[in-house]
Amino acid sequence: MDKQKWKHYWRVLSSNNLGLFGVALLVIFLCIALFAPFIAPFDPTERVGSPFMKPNGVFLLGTNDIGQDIFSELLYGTRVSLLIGVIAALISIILGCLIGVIAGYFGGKVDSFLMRLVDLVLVIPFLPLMILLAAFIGPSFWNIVLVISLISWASPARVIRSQVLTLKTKGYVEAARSIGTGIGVILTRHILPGVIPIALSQFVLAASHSILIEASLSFLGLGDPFTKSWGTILYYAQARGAFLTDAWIWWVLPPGLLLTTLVIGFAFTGYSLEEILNPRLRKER
Amino acid sequence: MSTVLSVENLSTFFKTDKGIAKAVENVSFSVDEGEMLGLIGESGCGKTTVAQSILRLIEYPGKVVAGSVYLNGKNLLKATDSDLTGLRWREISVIPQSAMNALNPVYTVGDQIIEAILLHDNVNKKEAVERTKKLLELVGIDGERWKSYPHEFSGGMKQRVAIAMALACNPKLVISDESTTGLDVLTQAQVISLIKNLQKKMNLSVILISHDLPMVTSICDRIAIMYAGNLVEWASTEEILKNAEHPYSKALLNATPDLSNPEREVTSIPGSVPNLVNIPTCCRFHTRCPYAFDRCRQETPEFKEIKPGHYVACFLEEEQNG
Amino acid sequence: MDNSVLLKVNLLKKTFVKKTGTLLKRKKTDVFAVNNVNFEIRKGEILGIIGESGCGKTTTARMVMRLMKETSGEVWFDGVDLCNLKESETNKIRKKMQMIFQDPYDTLNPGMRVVDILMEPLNAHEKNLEYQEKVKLVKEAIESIELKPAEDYMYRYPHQLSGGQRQRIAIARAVILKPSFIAADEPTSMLDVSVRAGILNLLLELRKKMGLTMMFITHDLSTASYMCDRIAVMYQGRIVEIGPTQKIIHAPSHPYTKALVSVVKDLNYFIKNRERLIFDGEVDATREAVGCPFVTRCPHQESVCHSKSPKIESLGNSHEVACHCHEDLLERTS
Repeated sequence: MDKQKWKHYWRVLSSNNLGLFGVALLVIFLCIALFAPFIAPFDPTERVGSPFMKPNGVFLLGTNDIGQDIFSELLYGTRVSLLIGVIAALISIILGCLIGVIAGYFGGKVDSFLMRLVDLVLVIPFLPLMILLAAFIGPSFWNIVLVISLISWASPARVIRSQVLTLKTKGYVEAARSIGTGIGVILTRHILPGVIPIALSQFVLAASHSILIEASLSFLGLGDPFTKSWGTILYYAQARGAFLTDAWIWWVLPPGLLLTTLVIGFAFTGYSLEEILNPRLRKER
Repeated sequence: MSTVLSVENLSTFFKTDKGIAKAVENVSFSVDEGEMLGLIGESGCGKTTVAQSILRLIEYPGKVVAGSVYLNGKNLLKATDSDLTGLRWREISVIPQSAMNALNPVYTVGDQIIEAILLHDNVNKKEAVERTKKLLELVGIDGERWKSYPHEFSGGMKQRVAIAMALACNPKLVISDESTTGLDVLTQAQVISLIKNLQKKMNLSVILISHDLPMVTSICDRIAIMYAGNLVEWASTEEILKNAEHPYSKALLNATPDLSNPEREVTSIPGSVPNLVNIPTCCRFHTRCPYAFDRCRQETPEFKEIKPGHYVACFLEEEQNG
Repeated sequence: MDNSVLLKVNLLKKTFVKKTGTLLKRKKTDVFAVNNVNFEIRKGEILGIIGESGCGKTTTARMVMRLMKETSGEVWFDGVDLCNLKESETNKIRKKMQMIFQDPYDTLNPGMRVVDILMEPLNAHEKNLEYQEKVKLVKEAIESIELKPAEDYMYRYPHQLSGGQRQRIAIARAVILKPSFIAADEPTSMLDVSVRAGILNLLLELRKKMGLTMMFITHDLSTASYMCDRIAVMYQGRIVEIGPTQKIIHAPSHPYTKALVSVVKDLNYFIKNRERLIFDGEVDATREAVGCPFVTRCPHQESVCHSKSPKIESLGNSHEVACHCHEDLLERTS
């Protein structure tokens, strides 16, 4: 049955061009991130050429202000952007799941309190807060992950709570209660399987969201100075005046395009995931 | 007594991904003037599809593929759209399954009835209002409440409004499609008794579609029993109760407990309804029939008259009588 | 308490608060879903609870099964007051009392196989059993509900079963722990007429085989008469009449029961005598709990019916009725 299920998912996915495109994009980026050391012609931390070189046969996208190869920087940057995005999204989804399930299943005052908390997090203007937080606890890889997850757990929590609310009224949950099944078993056997599909599509959305936030933070100079992400590249480009010269074509445009493409990849995957996992769009039975 | 509606060899099929679903096949029956016919069967047996076919409400992927429906001599299946507009409401009307859905919540019930009257009858607004009030009183609602909105009525009263609406243009034939399902037992009885009394008073012909056998047997003049898209038996109520011929009819009569005789054991019909998609030629009941023999699996029994007014589609009767 | 009584419900009450008005002028009114309900079920007996939708019969069952907290009252099961138990103690009691739900399409988890569904009660209460022993019990349970051979059904998902088969699996889940009490909440109302009888007969047979005590909830008087030894008639949260099935059907005393019986017994009689049996009034659930709940539809009402709610009185032979006028009615009919 499990095999059939996956086969079915694959059928839905492959019949959906957008989804297939999205997944293909993600796979390409994953490969770039994994094999960056093999693809990149230079070590991005080494000064390999003279500063501000234009693109040529050796340096495909020229060099930056201290003579590092921008192309190699971009390839290695994929690693950082993807890693931060995925880790932050994972943390915020786990947090969101936990809070959503607790709020939805137990209801009452617990629910009211947690949902007001969610409202609070949702209405806070996130960019200023993040700048403040990032500046306050200092720029580092894990701090950025922390800041992003603190901000982005709220909206998945709310979506998951509403799913739990509908699952809770299902007859089989009540039946399990009347049998005398413990709360832990009810949550893991009856509630969670219904939540996971939604959590998965939320995860994809959160990942693209996190990548964008990371880029914005780094662009503002609040990123980790020791790991170069696409945002950091943009920050240096801006700081060294690349926006004002011809250099934007090879220094600003490529990271920007990569960011857009990656986010599009996530978005398309998210849509098709929803189609696979949303029982209303699934008509096998 | 003259025949108001006669349905001959009606077949309605639906196109599905997996093939053709023969939702209704070879259904024939008729309704006399002032008669109440009960059309009964379990969910999915095609009784609503029959009603929709008569009213020409079948839409793609469904299609009436054969047969004819004569309403006072006019073939409804060949009628043009403008003919139909004239026929609906004035000749034939429906009391829908759910009055909640039939009434538009943003207009008063009066406006909705008046609109129907103005559309179909050549009267002025004032006369229409008067008639609406009379209609509401006919169904036991204060005529002055025509200015109320649907949500101001309770479930049973909404169903009465729906009845009033169905009667707005003095139709000859009313089809009640499970119009009391979902109501409480007493409210249901009230609505049914209203329909029955109106039927007598106005000499209406009524097709009562239901799955509730005890109710149908106590108020209908004749009963037609459907199973899996076929009509299996059609006779007067008395005849069905005393001399039901088809094994399905008999089983159905034995399946519901009887309040006057709670000791009688009820029996279920083993198995389940066959899938109507690409169903082969056979008696569709053979999978659940205790008397089924080879012929039932290979041929479709003809729906024929075995006694005056008593029609059955079963080989068994033929075997027994030669 | 009498030893032969398995379940005793005492002054059980459930109110829901209905909030009306604006934010500043908030008005709170209590809506009685279940109002001072008393009944007992003796060992081996089937008590039917009948009434229309919204009369509180399901709420009563849910409170008895501890799926919902009561507002006040007591539920005694086998000498224990369930209302004062902790959650963990309640869960232990649940081994002896199980419920069958109305909707067979909703009550089985669509993502679980039959064997996993039936394993659930065993996992909750028979933790020490080996997996193979559990599988054996599951097989027995499937065969006891007449789905044979069990292997054919064990590894199916609910969507591969028909409605009747699903309800049978739900029944198997309820009896696999060999409980002493079962609450069945309209187990046949969602099923087709042709398979209903099978479920009813199955329940009767299980009762005989396992000595089950049952609370059978239905809106259909004829089903209740087929199944039950005694019937309690509920109207708007109260029991208006309770007694042996024969008494309820042949000598109904409450006007509501009378109307109900006449509708089911002979609809034609009801149609001809509608005015004598019932008003064209409507159910009004929001009405204040003053007077008799049936007063809006009762054709025999007197002034006292509007002001005072009737107490339940015995008519002898454990037949009880809550009506101010039942004596007058008796005279009038005889």
